Amino acid sequence: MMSQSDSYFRPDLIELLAGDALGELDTTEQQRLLQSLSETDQQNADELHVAAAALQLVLAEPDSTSMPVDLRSRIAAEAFSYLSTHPSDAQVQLVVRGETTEALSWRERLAWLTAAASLILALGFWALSRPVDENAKIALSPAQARADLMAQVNDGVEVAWTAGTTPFDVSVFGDVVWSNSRQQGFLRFVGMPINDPSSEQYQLWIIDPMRDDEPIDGGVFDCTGEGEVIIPIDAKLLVINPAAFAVTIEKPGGVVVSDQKRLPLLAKVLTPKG
Amino acid sequence: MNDSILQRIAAGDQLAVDDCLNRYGGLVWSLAKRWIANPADAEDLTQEIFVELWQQAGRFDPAVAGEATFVAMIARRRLIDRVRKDSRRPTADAIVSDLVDKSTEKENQAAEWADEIAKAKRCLTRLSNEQQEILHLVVHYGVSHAAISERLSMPLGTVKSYARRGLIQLRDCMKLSADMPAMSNASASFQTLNTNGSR
Repeated sequence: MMSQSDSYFRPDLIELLAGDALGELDTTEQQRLLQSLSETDQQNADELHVAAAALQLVLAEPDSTSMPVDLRSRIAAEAFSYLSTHPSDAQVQLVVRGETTEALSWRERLAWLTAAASLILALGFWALSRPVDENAKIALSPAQARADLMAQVNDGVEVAWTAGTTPFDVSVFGDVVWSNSRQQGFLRFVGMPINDPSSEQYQLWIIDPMRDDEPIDGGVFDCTGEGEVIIPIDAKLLVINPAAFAVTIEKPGGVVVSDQKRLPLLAKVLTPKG
Repeated sequence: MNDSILQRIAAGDQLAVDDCLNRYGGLVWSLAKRWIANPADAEDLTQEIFVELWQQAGRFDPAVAGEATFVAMIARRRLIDRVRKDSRRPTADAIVSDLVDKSTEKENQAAEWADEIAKAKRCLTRLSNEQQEILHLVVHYGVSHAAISERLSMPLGTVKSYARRGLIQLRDCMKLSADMPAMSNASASFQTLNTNGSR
């Protein structure tokens, strides 16, 4: 049956598909093709590749010289090695056979090329746009880094600690600052009990209902000194819109899921900012 | 169960490797030699093509293309990638003498390969002489459009158009020939298309 895909009605596009099957697209044409494609064009592309390959076979003369013996031996050795080390790959491919008609479709190749080019460009721009003093920031104290963050962002959240479900025996003050745009934040504590890291550690949790019902692990930390302590937040996942921050006491190394039996501090974000 | 060679390879049958090399080794080797001037490079490329063939064997679907066509598709992709990377392609001058004998009637292995090859052979004769000549240079020898343009003193856009529209017409003919045993309608379609064949 004749396919009724979009490209049948777009002569320019089908010519680009033919050029791709012939391996003769220049960079500009490759970009145009990628931008113009729809899923329904895959059949056209497949058919044109098949036509080109069939033509290749039609034009191929019988080869009077067979493949050199040593080349054949190398190829056979590689095949045996491959088949003995990748039996499961072959089986998996059989299962999906029919879903894809080409070894690597033009769309995949173009997408990979474009993705690679974009990545290189992005890395280049990132490298060029990095602030000159980026390395210097690493040397900043946590207090300076916290102050810088709050001075530089306009989406900073700042909330004070309050007593959690199992408060400390002593009063603890301080706050949490967080920037969604930077995905960066700091905990500040004053009067926080010093912990023994060999027996227990503090762990931060970020409650973000927009992301998940489960709190996000914000990192394990210790309080090793008196006075003001500032700890960088180490969010393990992207934070979308935090509703609260909680500190629990866990075994050394922290836990994946807290039972929240010891939750001394909580900071609720009353007016979450995007 | 009569699995094809590639299906046997995909299933991990090591005995199928010899069968594959017996049937397609000469084809791939001759393609590589024709496209790649340096024999050592042609050997490397032949090895690469077969490595990819082992890896992709599971994707072969006889409902989409014949086995030989699938092998040729893998080989063509590798060849195209290589010449793009190296920017070294055969020149039209180097092969012009061979074109004297570019008869589409020459005996080859197509008869024992898939049905689409027989269709392609029939359909090739329906294309204009210019389309046949240019597709022969592009597909068979891997000559670039620019080199063909220079050799035939033809504008690059015209070469491109002949090649691309020729392939599209070939594809359409192959489809029509699959859908309708009689080729008369296909022939009429080509005549119509060929009147707009250049730009």
